[in-house]
Amino acid sequence: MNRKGQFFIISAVFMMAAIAAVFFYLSARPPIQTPSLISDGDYLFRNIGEEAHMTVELVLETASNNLSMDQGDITNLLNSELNTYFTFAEGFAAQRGMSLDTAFSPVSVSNQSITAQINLTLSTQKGVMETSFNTISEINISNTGIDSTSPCQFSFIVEKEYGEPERGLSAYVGIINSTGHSMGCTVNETTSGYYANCTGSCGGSSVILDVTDFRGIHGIGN
Amino acid sequence: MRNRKGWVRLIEILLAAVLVFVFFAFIQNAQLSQYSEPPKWDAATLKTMGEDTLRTMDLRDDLNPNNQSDLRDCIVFGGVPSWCSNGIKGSLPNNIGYALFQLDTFFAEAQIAGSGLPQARETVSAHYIIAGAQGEPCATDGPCAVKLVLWYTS
Repeated sequence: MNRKGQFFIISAVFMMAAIAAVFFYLSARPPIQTPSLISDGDYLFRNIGEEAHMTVELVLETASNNLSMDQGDITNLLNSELNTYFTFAEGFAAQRGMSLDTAFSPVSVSNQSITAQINLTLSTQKGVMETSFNTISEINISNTGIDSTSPCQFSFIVEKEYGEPERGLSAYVGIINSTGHSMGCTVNETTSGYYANCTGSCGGSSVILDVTDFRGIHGIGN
Repeated sequence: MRNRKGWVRLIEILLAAVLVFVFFAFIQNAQLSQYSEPPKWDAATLKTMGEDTLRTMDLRDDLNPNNQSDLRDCIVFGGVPSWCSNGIKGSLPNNIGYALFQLDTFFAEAQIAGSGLPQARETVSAHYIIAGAQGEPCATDGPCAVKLVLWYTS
């Protein structure tokens, strides 16, 4: 009977030693730290993509304010600026222990709209991130209806690349009547866009709107 | 003989009970001390704050309204205006020090805002690339980046 009792105690000791060993093994593993959850790559990847779009926007700003630039000039400028940007981004990623591969190509260019296709591949210690997207920068101005030709009164809208309305532009709008004369107009913002109330005559059934938006992008519409 | 057997059993049961009790007490104590330790997330929190600050500064244009992001304005103006420093300071808790550096096209660093780096404190840096073209907005003919170094002051 004594032996049975000793066996019971020894068994209990061994059993708890085994459980304690498992516990210590698990607790010895490094706990999940927030730094390991936050990947530098995610932030950089998003940053690079967004600023690629900004580069295209800056090229459009230049092209829209230099109407002498033709499609070839704009394409050359776009290629040059994106090349400079991605060279910088690749070096920046390399300095942080990541590898960035980039490719881009102009899809369509004009003085009021630029579309470029961007391919990004960022390789980090944690994996590879890839994306391919078209980045568009654009300004659209359209006359949505002339209420009166004399005095000239009409409504118009100014939109960005995805149809986002641009607001608060009244100070940046010039209006030219169909005979090529600048008109003095009061431009008010409405719920659907803008309304121009001019002192002179439209001179016909159309007007030319000359707008510079908050991005510095210049557009002409009628 | 009979009495001795009884005592042995009693001692066995007591020992086993004590062992089990001590074991569970130990496990519970170990777990409690693990959870009561201060989280070692300071560096990650600082880094997230830094990244959020830079991105927010790039999205807003109310500190220096000119249709260009405030972060780009910080670069163009070299951090001289107080609104730039105030903007960064305002987005950080009071017990965090900062220094903002500009990295030019060749990754050369120049401090443009904030105070000197601390001598004996752990610092964390957050980076942000800024696109540039035709001499804007990095005051060079190309992109640049900024580095925001943060540290706990207390």
